[in-house]
Amino acid sequence: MSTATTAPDQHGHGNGHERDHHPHVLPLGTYIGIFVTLLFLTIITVGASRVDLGSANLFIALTIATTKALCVALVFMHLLFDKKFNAIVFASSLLFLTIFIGFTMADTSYRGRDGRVAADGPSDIQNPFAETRSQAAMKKLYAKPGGKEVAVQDQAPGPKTDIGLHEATPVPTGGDAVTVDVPGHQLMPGVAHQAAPAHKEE
Amino acid sequence: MSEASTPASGLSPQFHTAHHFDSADTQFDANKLGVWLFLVTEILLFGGLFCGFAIFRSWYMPAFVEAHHMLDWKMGSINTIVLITSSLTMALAVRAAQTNKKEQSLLLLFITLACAGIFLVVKYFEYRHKFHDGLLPGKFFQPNPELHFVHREAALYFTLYFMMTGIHGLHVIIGMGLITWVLIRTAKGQFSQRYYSPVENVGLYWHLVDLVWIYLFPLLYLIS
Repeated sequence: MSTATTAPDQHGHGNGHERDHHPHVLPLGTYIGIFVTLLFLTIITVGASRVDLGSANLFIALTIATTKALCVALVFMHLLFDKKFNAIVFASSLLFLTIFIGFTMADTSYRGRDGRVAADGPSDIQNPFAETRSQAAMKKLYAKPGGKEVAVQDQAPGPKTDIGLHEATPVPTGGDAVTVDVPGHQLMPGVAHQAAPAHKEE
Repeated sequence: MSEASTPASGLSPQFHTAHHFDSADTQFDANKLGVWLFLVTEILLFGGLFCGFAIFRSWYMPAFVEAHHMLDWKMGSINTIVLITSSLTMALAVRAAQTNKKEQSLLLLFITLACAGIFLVVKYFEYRHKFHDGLLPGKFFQPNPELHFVHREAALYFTLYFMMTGIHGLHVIIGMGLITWVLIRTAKGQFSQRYYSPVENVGLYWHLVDLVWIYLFPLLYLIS
């Protein structure tokens, strides 16, 4: 770990116990360079988010975020120049985080699939393999004129966007006070509800 | 107290390698490793929140998309740039301590503190706007009707938003306290190339705070 510094004659050398630590100093240019890179990547990530690329948006955002994180971790946090063990410790946390999130999403994304779910059925029975009901619903929900950025005031989805995609499987109704447990879509009070009867609000 | 180990240079006169370490290098490395282990726990802390965010986003995508538009990406971008700058000044402050430049280190630590303060001020305005619009966590979610919220689960989004940015903000405040402590010790002339561990380790913590925000920003503010 110890490498020579530029400062001359300022070591308190004695026996092994008193040998001084010598810092590993990076050049100023390195820090500035990484800073500029981070700013640049920030601009890129904001710019990329303004363009609608569908599901690639998430992937791009996370990739850029990871690149920025590596810049900070490897240079600002000195992992590139440190003892390798620190990097191993850091990498282990990322490994466990990956397992944590990965396994959880693999479970929850496919949960509750004892049988067929209405949302996975074809949206157009005449063309059954074109699109599922949930895909059609998502398309309808996100269809906006003029691209992604809609001002808050213009963004009145209103009752029109209630496309009837509620509980995919019937929920056992133990009276009116049952909170819906499935990932259906509860609507705000006052939003008109087309298909279902009296919908519990909370 | 170890005997007679005043270095000829007079740098960091208060520092002596602790007895149970065989050298200053070992102590330095051990300090750093300890902080890295702590950072791992912090990563997993925020990781749990990110996991929750991932789960509920996949369950309630339309609600999350709707709620996400309530966040101002411009303010988020400002905060991102402010934090990245503070990371730079913190790293440079460590470097200044390593090269015996006390005044430079002090100045850079002050700037880091100032950036952290700016971050919190911007956060305050964001939160105030949310409160004003009734966009509160969970059962307190009473959105301004003019916002035309359709989905009830948007309340969940704001629960996650406030928890994640709130805990992050708490870490920023704690970081400011730590930086202040290091600043005072720097002013007392305690740090030099012989001994700068506290500056470096607080720097590591601060970079982690920045790291978390680097992930929070796109996930909350940028993606639909």
